[in-house]
Amino acid sequence: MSRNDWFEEFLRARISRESHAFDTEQAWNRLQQRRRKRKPRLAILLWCCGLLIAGAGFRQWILRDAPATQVFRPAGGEHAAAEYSHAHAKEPAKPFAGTQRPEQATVNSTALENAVAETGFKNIVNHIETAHHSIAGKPDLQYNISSAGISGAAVVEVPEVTTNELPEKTERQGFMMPPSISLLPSITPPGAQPEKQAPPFFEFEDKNTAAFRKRRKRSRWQAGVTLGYGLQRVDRASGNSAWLAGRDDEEALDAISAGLLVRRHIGDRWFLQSGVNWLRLTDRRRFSSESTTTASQPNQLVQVIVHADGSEEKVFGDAPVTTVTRTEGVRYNRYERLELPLLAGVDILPGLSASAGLAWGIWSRSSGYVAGPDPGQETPVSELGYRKGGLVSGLLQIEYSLPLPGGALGLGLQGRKDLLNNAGRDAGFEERRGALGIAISYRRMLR
Amino acid sequence: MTETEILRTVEACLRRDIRAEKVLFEYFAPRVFALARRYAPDETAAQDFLQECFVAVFDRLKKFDPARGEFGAWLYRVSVNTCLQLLRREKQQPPLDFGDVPVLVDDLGSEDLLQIPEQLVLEGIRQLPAGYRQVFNLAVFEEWPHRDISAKLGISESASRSQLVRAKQFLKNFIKKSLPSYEPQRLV
Repeated sequence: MSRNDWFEEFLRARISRESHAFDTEQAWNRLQQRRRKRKPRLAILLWCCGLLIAGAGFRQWILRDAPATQVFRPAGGEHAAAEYSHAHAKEPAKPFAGTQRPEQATVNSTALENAVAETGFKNIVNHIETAHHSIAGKPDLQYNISSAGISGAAVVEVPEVTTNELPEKTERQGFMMPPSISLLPSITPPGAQPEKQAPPFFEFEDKNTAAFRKRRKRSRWQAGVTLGYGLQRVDRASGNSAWLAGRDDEEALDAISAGLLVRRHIGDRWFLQSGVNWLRLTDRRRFSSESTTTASQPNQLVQVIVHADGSEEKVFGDAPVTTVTRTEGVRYNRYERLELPLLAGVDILPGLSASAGLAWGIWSRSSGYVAGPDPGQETPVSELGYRKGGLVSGLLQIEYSLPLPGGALGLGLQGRKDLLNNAGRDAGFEERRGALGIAISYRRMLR
Repeated sequence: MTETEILRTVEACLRRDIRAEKVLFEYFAPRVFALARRYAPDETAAQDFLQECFVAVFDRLKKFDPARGEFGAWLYRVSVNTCLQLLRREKQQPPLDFGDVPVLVDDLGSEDLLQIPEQLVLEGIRQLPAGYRQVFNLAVFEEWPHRDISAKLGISESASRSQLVRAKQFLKNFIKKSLPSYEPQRLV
């Protein structure tokens, strides 16, 4: 027994397993208080969560219905700006008294809105003029608009019309709005800074994600295993169509992969990933073959003699018999590769990462057969120059990482595509295979 | 209290019998408090740890399966996990600098050990940084293998081993240094 073990034994013996001087009654009372406190706190927390969600929903609803606020700068004054709110412009026009025509007023207010949105402040003035003419139709409704005079120091007042009558005469430094339009100008002082955007209402980060981030910061190296399953696609478009004849009975099935990975974070968000990956691609081949054999068989009907009285005489003897045998079945062709992938990735959101890179094929093997040049013949796929497998493949992966104690479980989508093939020189074309599927991985933090 | 009596009490607790809860608490609290004192940085925190442990125990009582082991062992495991959770919530403490600590380990003889009061050892454990304290407690008192410790705390096995060695080194030095000038009333 080493000295350290002896020391541990000593500590275990020295520190008692039970506390003797311990007031259980007082501790029990404290526990009861703690438990009583806890329930309302939980209820309050739930209420707050509910209120937050409701508030956020209400805010979204308000923002969806609220009109946009636009800022216009009058052409006459460089430093002047008037903030125009559409909010009240959308209110329906109030009925006018006497000979006024509210329909026209509404139409013109809409036109004003459009003009505001399209051309700016000068058009506001023009449309206000038009609107006044069309609403009142009276020469006694006078106004005084000095658009060129509006500057940073200009005071623009807007009469608030609450009755059914328009003011008979309004002379101001600014201009007057028709009742259906409420202009709420605010002059921005010269040299004023634009309003800063408010910070987001709240930011939420999952507790597990935060813990995972913390752990990840502690250890930049991760190692683990990965498994993938996907559906594959074969691209043969670059080849000579003559080579493709008779290949239609082949169907690309799935792609299974397994590998070891090592990941190294090179910053807060970026990482490199490598390892070794084994990949197996499977094709399904439905084949049918016919064979014809002719052999002389004894006791075959070779002749029928019909006599004059109508009777028939059958003659049996040796005769050649042709037999056609048709064979149908399903076979699977498999292509296996060993690759060295190298990916660069980035954490897009907490727990969500995307990575892309290349995989170099270092070994490949194929098994199975394809239809040969002659009917009934088969050629091993290992002899096919166009199926030597990918030399370099492109990889793309989007992964969601679920933090676990000491590691992380990743679940993601991954895609791959052969970029370069090591097809034989005599091959008439080459196959490039791609696959899209899901991948699950488990990574452990390394020191 | 036999295991049958304990199970009967647990059944009563599941029926929300407050008297049964109290019986269970009074029976196990000294043991859990001893555990909490080893994990908590001070005595006040130890009392909080004790409360949290029993809150967790009563919350998870329905998850206890008598077929899988004794109630005491289950309660102890829940308490250890709760203490670890509570320590995780604490702020990260700066790592302990062992470079300046002179190696006095060999000087610690058996005569010295006989003089060491429990309170001093406990004080030494509490002086350890939270991470070291967790590894030390799990390895020495709970007797967990380093593989389980590393999985639980999210560190590597080698880190767990080295932290244990350093924690023991620190503790030996602390004891040795404290022996001549040790005043029991100061630590109470």
